[in-house]
Amino acid sequence: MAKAKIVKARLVANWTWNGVNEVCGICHVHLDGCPPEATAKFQTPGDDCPVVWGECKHAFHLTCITKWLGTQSDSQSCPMCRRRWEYSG
Amino acid sequence: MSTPCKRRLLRDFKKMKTDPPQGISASPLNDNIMQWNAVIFGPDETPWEGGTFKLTITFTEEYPNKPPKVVFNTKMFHPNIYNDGGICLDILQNQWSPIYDVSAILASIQSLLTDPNPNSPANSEASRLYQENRKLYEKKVKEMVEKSWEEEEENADE
Repeated sequence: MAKAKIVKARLVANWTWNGVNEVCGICHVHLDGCPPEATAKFQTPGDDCPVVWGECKHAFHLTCITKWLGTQSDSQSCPMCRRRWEYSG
Repeated sequence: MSTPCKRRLLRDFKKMKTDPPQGISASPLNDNIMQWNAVIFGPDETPWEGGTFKLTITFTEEYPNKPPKVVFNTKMFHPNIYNDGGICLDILQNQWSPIYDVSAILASIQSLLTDPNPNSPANSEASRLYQENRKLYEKKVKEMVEKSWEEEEENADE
């Protein structure tokens, strides 16, 4: 017979994107946080605010890098190292 | 209204307040965060020493995906600075990257002062003297520094 009965439990988990502990070079918000896009869609950290990596190993918020690449007409370069931007698979 | 650009500029401002680069100060106008005033102090032990050079920085909503417009308000004598105060610096044009912030932009301009690029002249006389007669070039820079103080006094009198 158990001496204590659990009535209520609150579970808390810590998470972080795999291998990144830095700010997004474009918006300067932490990669675990939300980029400063004004839409409600991007207000919850996590899957709503995905982080993507380039072949060059640099990471950015998906919305931030998409916007940057969209402003570049010819060369699609990584903001950090200026190498040609290719999404890492 | 808060936009991605304005939120980023608030972060830039916070960084300028907590961790300003040496010899540089900058802040947005009270009522318009898209418009900044900045001052670069001439680096010690160079002909630019003692100078206070004023600039204005104008951002568009496309920042940080597009560079701001930066101009000197102080009259300058420098190979890469036009008579109207415009600056010929690659990172403000085709070498722009969205990772730059206000602090990085101004630090680059500060280092351009003492390390001009004679290959892209904006002031042909300054460029020629820099390459052919460094002594006279430095004399002209020092004269300009002194003039920047006069401008300062005139403004104070107003």
